[in-house]
Amino acid sequence: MKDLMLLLKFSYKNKARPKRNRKGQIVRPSVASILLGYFLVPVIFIVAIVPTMIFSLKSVDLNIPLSQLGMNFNCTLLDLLLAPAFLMSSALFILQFAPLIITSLYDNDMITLLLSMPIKRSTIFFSASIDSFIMSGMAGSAVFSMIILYLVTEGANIFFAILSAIGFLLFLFSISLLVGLIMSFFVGKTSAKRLSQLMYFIVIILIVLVPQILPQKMSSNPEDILEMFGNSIKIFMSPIWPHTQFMQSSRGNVFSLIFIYVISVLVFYLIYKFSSNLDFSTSRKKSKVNKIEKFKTSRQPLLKKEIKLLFRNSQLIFMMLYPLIFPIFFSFAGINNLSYLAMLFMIIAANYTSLITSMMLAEEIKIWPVPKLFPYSTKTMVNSKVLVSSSIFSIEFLAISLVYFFIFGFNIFELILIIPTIILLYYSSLIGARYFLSDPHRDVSQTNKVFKGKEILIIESITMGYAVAIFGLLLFYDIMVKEGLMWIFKEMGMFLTSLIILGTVTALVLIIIFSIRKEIKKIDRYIEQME
Amino acid sequence: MIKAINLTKKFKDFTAVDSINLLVKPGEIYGFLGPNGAGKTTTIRMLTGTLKPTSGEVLIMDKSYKDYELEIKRNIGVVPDEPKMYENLKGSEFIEFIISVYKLDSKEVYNRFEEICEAFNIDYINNFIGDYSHGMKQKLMVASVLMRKPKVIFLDEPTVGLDAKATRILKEILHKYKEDGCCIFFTTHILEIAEKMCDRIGIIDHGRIIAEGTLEELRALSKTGSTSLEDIFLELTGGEEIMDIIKDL
Repeated sequence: MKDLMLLLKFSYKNKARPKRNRKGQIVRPSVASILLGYFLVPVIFIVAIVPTMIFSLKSVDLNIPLSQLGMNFNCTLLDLLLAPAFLMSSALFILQFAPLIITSLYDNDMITLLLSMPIKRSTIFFSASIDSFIMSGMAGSAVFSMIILYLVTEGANIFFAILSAIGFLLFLFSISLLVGLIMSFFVGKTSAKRLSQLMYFIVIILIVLVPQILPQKMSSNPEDILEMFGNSIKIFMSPIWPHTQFMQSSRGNVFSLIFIYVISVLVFYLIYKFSSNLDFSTSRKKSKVNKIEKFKTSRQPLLKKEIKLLFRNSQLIFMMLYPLIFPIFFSFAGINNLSYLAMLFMIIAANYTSLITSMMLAEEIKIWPVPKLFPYSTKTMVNSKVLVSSSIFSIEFLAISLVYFFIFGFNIFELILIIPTIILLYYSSLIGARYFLSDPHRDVSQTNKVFKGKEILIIESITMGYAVAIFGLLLFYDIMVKEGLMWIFKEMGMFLTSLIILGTVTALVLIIIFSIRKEIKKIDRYIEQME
Repeated sequence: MIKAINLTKKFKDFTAVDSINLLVKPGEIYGFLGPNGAGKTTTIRMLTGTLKPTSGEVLIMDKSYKDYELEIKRNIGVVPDEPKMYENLKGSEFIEFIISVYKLDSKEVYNRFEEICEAFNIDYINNFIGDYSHGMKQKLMVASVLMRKPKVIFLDEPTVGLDAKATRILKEILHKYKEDGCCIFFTTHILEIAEKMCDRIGIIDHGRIIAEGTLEELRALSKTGSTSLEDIFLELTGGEEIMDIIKDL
């Protein structure tokens, strides 16, 4: 146990980035503040989501046994309602946590050193597991939220509530470790890293999407819902699922409680025994084809490489897809206002363009100075990233516009939106590159955290600020064109209103164009200094 | 082919490389030796154009980086001290990227690459680079340079991570390329390799070249009459005190 605590302590110390204080002294954050950094988002998530959910679920009495509704099952309506969410969050937790164990265990430079020290292999394994659990973030907090939500809404006995919650978490934890161990025989660390990232983003997308879709299902005929539940109850409430045992045990079923703990202890013991003999090497399965039959050369090798790297990074894929969530919602809701959509799209896309550019640059810095050896200039390298990242969002916006024109009809005003969109995206991409290059020797070990807090705030303010100002004004103008003049513009008349609003937008776009030239000059200066 | 004139690199107050002059001719293997922190990697980075000198000039094939940077880079091959490559690319994709970016004749390179892969036992080309060990990466990096058969080759500690067989193959290939007129500049800590392979050797310490010449010329510099390169190296770089240190331990 002492060794385990020691390993964890130094693991978190190692994760800390030393910062300079105002006096210029290097200060290393404490272990507690590092842990807080990991827990902050999940805790905010729990605090924000759980009370709202409890409030909405408590407004209706859901603790009705299904037997009272004429269904021959030993559970309540609440169990039935939450079981699919429990199953989904548990599965995603395991699927995110298990590959994380592989990455933190096998992609860890320290492991070789630790193996040479007088520390048990099982201790190393468990320290990496706890490390991964803390990093699992959103998936862990989704499960945790479900547990709190269920126990409070159910009004469970405090004794059984605590015991069953701990038991359920241990159960999921042990299964994840087992899955992680088994996966290590088949999955390489690159695939594990990608799988883990992918699961993280699926969790976030599902958390955002599911509440949008569920109410539509719930609003259907109650009899249909009961019939649907009747059909699915055998799947979601099967005794093989950990959450079914958790639900039973929280209601005082001692057999389920013992079952959870016995299974967890057995799995832990199995892992303990097995991990004592681990050599901590992932499957290095050789590809069946280990020869290049023919070289597939490209006329645009840089572009081809950028796109390959871009689409192999789950986080970047998520960032590229995330702004598309609004058009999907809008199409669900039948909203046809492209200028409103453009504003929401641009608030996210402008910021993400900057971040994607910086993250793509971080990939080059990771292997620096190798890219400097290639026969193209550093400027070409930077430009390719700036253009790729802004082009992706520009293409996305063009595609959305085309779909909207196709569905809701062509509108010349909305067509004009494409111009500020492309200009702002290109500018945002340059901003990301400029801030990144202002300190090219920054820590890029965690690609998703390349910017300091202050830099993120500045970038968000600039990109989102322009997006809100330009597209907000255009939305306001669009509304007035469609529904008549409002506010102070009532007195001005349409001509003057158009002149003021469209003039302001044009002025803002011109400022951006002027700033683009300045940013390019700054980037050139930083590139000159790059070694 | 490689010429450095009064090459100096300063990092704030610290002078990493102090006004060194070098000349390496075609068909020559030049070994660049020195203790840790002597300035080897800084020198090689300036010679390969990845680090700008504070003063002085580098000429590769009589051309300066100031005016012909990209042309020079197309004609040189560099194996850096760490085999860093894009981890999310497969080995085969990295090689295709190199062929495309250097605008090489893929048919010509294909046969050479196949032979190099066979020699180095590179049979993991379709796996992701992120899954490679250090040695696997090093072999791929060496192969990606050698398949191009550049006119000038720089190797910074190329044998680190390579097994005995791969090291031997590398030595043989470098000899063959030298015979074909390539100019090879490499750093190593394994003095035995330098002794056997190099036509000329330069020893750098504290940023200055303290000795340069053939092995015979270096032997002549020895005050104690040392004949092995290891003894000469330790004598010149002040390593003879090591016996006193060991005694004290």
